Amino acid sequence: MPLLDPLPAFLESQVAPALASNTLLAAVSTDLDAHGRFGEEWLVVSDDTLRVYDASLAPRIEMNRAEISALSADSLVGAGALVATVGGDRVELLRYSNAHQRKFGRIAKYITDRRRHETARDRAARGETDAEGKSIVVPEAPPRLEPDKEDDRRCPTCRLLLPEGTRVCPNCMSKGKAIRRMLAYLKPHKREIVIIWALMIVGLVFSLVPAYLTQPLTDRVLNPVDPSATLDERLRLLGWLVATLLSVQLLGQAIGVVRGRMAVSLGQRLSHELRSDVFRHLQSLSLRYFDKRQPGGLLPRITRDTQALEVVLVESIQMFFSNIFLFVGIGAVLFWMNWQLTLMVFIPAPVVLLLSKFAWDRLMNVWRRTGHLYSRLTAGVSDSLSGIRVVRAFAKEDREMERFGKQSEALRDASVAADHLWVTFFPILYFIMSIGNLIIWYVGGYQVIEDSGLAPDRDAFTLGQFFAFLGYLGQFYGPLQFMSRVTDYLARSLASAERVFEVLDAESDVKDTETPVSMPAIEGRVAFQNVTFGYDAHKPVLKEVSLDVEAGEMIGLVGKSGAGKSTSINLLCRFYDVQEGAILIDGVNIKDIAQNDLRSQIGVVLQEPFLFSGSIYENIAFARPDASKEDVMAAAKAANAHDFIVQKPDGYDTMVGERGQTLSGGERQRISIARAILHNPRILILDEATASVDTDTEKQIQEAIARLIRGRTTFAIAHRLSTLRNATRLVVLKDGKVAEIGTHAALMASEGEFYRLVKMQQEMNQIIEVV
Amino acid sequence: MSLVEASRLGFLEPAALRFIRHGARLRMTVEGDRSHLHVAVICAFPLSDPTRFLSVRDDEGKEIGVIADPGLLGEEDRALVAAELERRYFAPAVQRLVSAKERFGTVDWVAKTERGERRFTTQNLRENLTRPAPGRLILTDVDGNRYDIRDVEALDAESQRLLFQHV
Repeated sequence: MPLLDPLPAFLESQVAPALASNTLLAAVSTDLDAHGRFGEEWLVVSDDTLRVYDASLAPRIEMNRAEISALSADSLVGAGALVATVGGDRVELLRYSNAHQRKFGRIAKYITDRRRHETARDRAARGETDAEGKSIVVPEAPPRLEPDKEDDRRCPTCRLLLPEGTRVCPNCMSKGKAIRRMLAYLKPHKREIVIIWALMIVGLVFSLVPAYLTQPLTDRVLNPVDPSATLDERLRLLGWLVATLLSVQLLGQAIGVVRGRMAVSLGQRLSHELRSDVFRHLQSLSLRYFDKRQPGGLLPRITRDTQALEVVLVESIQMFFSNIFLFVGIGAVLFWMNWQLTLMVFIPAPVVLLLSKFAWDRLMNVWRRTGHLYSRLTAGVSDSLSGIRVVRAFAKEDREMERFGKQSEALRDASVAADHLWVTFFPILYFIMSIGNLIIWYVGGYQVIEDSGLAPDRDAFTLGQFFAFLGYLGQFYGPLQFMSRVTDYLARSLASAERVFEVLDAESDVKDTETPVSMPAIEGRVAFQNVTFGYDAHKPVLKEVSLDVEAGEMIGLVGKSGAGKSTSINLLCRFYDVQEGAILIDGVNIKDIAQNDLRSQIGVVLQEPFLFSGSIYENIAFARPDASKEDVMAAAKAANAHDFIVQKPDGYDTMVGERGQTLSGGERQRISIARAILHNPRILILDEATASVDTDTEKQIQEAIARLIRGRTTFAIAHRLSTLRNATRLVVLKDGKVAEIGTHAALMASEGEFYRLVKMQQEMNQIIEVV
Repeated sequence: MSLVEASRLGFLEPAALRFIRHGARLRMTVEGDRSHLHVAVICAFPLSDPTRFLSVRDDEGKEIGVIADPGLLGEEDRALVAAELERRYFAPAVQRLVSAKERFGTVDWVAKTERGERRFTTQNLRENLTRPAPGRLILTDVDGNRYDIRDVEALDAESQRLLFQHV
């Protein structure tokens, strides 16, 4: 099956014969012309020719396919070029933007493979032999076009580009589904919700009673329609009516209190569940997710958005249905009382609905915008405050203030826009509805005056009925107004729900396989096999790195910054997955090892140690909370931390971290080394672990580590090359490739890359000494 | 090799230790080994485990060793060590709160402690309150003195009321 793009009609007819005879290999379009300007060109490759058609549909290039020994897709920056090797020359066939990169990459490989296959076949047919004199083996079938990888940036159903870090398509995810998903959180609390709702309905019925009682109050007590009613009767009835109103009020409010209390507890519980869900999920995500996002931006999702969702789940949904109930209930009562008048109530309704429809999209947009800006503001503040030392050191307070000012202004403007819309929309709506009210006053009042002469038992519209009608009307407009605001409530909640679900839907790109291999006791053999990896898929940091490490070896990773030392470590810990090749531990691909088993046996000491708020003891025991105090002290002793810790007033109980005592870099470093030592890992990773301690301390730490690493595989990255003297072997990385491997002595003797680095450092030290 | 062996953390055998007080100096003899003329005894876990894991140091601050369980010392030695700790660690335990008045974020406390009644002032309690264990609070006053509330639940109701007004 050839690779076929939609073609202009003319070309379609051109390629038709080749397509029919099954000799067409590819007919595809590109989006750049020969001069790199946007424009269409077409590449048509068949068994015997290769043609490039330009926009005038004339073949710009035409060559015999047999002349082309290879085709390559050269990547430029932001674009690429398809280049053919003809004889000894390279001819640029066409250019394409990055959008077509994959397509031309596949074509180049396909055509080249095919050519190679054909050459081999021809040589075999002529009875030639290869360099070693063996006959040439030709696979029966010609090479095939590689299948295109599923473009996982797009939704499989609607091809929409997905938001980063999620597989949920915002287009295919129906709004109804988001609401259903929110409702799923209510399911475990069914019983309470039924009770709350029942109380709500009873309360609503109670709220309808007072308006109903206005009719007897007017028609039988205050201004009796029946002239024969005695004063005594009227007073007694008044008493009864007031007593009824009192008890209705009392019961209604009591029910309100009970319902409110239940709703609050339920709401807070839901809120807690949501927050925990989001936080738990965040903990399970891979580091790549956090590389792309600022912690400050994620913060409001755990706090603000889950809170908003909770409000929706408990309050808004209740309000929604109670208003529908009121709307239908009061509407029915109004119809029953006076249907002609009720119809007039509905005169403004279409306008109200149209106006709401108009406001729907706008409100949704501005709210989403304020949400984003709010996140950005908090992220900016947390960024600036955590970097306060740097800001001070470079006297960039003004710049920070300006930056904050701009963000705050943007938030101000967006909020003003949102609230302006809000405060303009409702008075207009209210005015339109009040027109309906005025119509009732006029028409209803007219009817009362007209009917006042009629006998009371006739089908007359009395003053009392009119007052009751007006009372209900007042209650009727509330829900009607709400109906127009429902859109807005929904908009607000959907935006929050989207943000919360986006986090919940983000999938970790470092996942356990379905049947992870359990490895409770790793020996420590590590192998890198042709590992290629880049944080950005197009820019590999490691290129086909291969390395075999025996259990118990200490490997020093050496190289300039950016050579890929820390990246190798990140891959070994499986913070990221390799793109090509594999990393094996004891012969098992780390992708197949249960992540818990893997990480619990790898101990890492990072360049910038992180201490949690808590005591020093808790920080060391972080990896093994069940460790005895003896072991914690021993680990600290081994890390050369015991002495400075004990001499602090609170000893191991000294609080460190965000709110605790500040420790020096070396102290923090030693605590984190103690943490790793206590962890007792099979594979120990020291990423510039001794960078911030003085040489004396470093020596002591190294001695302790040397005792401990016996039988453990250790990877050490150190900038000071002299510290790696104990290493069994040194691996020198250069530009993402392994440049040299060998012992310290052997590498020095061979006077290669490592020798150069050492010399450079020695010179540096001499310069420093001279100065 | 166990972690303790590998780390060269030295534990002292309590039965082999003899302490003698000479004026302000505490002398320690490890029987059959050597004598240290002036030693300091420091708690490794002064808050969470004050009665165990004592680090004994010579007058240059170098650790001679750790006494894992001072309870195994001889009676006189134990008393000497306890007295040394008592001298070193001053964080009176609060038995009862008498009053606590707040003005502009500054709280004036009057408390009955194991070392007598005391009036002290705290500011910015968020920063000057440590919770080394659940139910335990340590207040640090404006001068850096510390007041240890070992178990909040064990305080009488009035003290608890005063405390929770501000904490």
